[in-house]
Amino acid sequence: MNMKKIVATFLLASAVAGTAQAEVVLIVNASNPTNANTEDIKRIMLGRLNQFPADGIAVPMLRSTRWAQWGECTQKFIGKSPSDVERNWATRVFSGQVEPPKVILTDAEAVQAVSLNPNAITCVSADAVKGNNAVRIVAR
Amino acid sequence: MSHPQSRGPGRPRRGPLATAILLAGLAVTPLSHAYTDEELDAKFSTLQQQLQSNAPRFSVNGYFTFAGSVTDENGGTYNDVSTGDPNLEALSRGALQLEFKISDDTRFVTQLLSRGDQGWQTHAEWAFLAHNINADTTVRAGRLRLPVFLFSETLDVGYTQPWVTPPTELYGLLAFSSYEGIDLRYRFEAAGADWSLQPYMGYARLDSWEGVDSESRGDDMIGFDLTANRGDVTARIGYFASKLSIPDFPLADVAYDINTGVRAALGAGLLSSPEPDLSVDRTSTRFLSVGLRYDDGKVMLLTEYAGAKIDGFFSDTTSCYGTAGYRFGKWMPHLTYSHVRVDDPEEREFASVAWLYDPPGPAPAMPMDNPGGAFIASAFALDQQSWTAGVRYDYRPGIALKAEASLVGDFADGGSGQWIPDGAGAAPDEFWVYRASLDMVF
Repeated sequence: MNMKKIVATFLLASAVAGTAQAEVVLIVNASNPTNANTEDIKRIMLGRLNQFPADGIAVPMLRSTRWAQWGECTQKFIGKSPSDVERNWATRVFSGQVEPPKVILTDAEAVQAVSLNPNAITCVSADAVKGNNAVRIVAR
Repeated sequence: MSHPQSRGPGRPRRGPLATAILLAGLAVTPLSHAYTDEELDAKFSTLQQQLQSNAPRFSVNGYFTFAGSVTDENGGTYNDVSTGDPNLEALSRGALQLEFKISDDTRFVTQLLSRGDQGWQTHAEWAFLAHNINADTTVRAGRLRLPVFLFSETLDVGYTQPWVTPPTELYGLLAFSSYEGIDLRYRFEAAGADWSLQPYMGYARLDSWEGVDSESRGDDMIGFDLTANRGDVTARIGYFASKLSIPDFPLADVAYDINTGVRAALGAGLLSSPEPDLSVDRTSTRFLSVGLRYDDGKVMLLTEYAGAKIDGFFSDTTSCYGTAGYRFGKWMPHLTYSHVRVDDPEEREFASVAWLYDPPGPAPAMPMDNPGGAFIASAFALDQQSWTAGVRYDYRPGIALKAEASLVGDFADGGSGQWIPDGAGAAPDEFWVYRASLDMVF
């Protein structure tokens, strides 16, 4: 295989990989009436704000760093790298301020957790919530 | 960080436990009619929610730092570490934080910490009960960390800090790290910022002073921390006061032995006066600190100021530092300037005059006529400054590698800052400290 072919194959593989992943979205329980704005959501996902602006305790759920789209999610909705998000939560947890947040590996588990908890908010791939009435997208 | 709750019930498919409970539920229900699929789904959903509310209430998190340091000079102790040889124990530590949720509003938390320089013996650095009075207010009681500086509450969690060791000119001043007592955290929003007000009270034990074991205490401790967070900026102010007692001040013994030794060597006979009493009983201490942090994900700026006032012959000090860092992807080089100044050197003039020098005998023919007193004065001459250049590498979320080099110097005349010479030996004018660490949270 010559160099051009290798490069072409690589580019094609990248393009396929790129299109395979849907956009990431933030979801809450369908019963949650919140109209939290992007800044509120950022504060909630960092544990600075512990309530939704409308009402009710906010329970942010983090995603495992082994979930491929977590980095995309933290940059898009929190404006920070996964390492910075980790450092932020480590500071809160090890100073005893907050309970350790749930950390979820798969989209299916994440959707399930939010559908069962009216206070939860987490990040999933948009594909995972198609046709699901138990959860609602609050940011995309 | 891993969280066992996430592996608990609440999965999309029915686990064996859920199925067993579902079947058990069906078994005790009079089968007066056949269940439709919808009814079964509804029942399953209800049971699953009950399981969810009974999700494991116990969680374990932890952190670990493996770190080494070495100085380019020897003949003393710096920050409780004997200088000259590489040391892999003094900065290494690991902890497990166990949390048990007793009810929706109440949890018990303990942090079991093992330090390398204590033979990895484990002790509870934290142990408290936290109760949420309402969504904004939490009360905690037990063994807590003193919230005096930006990084006080996570002082041992190296992962949360840019440096291997936070600036010792400020962080090294406070002998207390934990206290037994009660605190309240009240969160509120004002002026577009998230605020947290944390008043606290209790008492503290001082395990050591300048590296020497001590049975000292800080009683009647009372203080507060006020933190505001807006966007990329965090600002805090803290104050605490307490009554400090040191029943057996260790440096008095050392000073007395030095002078006794000098007199014996000169044939001047033993000191006729008794060993000086340098015990401290409920002397008033006050501590004010201010901190500012900016972090936009690229640029990181940190600065803190602290003023300590202790009645009597202890040093009153003013400390500050500034750190600037810039992230290049996973790498963050940073630079820190830090210093501490003693504000009341005149309060230790006693150390160079009469009380250890016994007039009836011939005056020792030494450069210093009271080497023991000079030793004590130097121990209180804490003035020093340092420049630190370092780098943090975020290998992946939860794991960081750090390295730094500090040039320490600018001591007061006759002083050596936080460098404690072996015996009456001389201290270097300045020296380098090199440190490296692996920091994890999990």
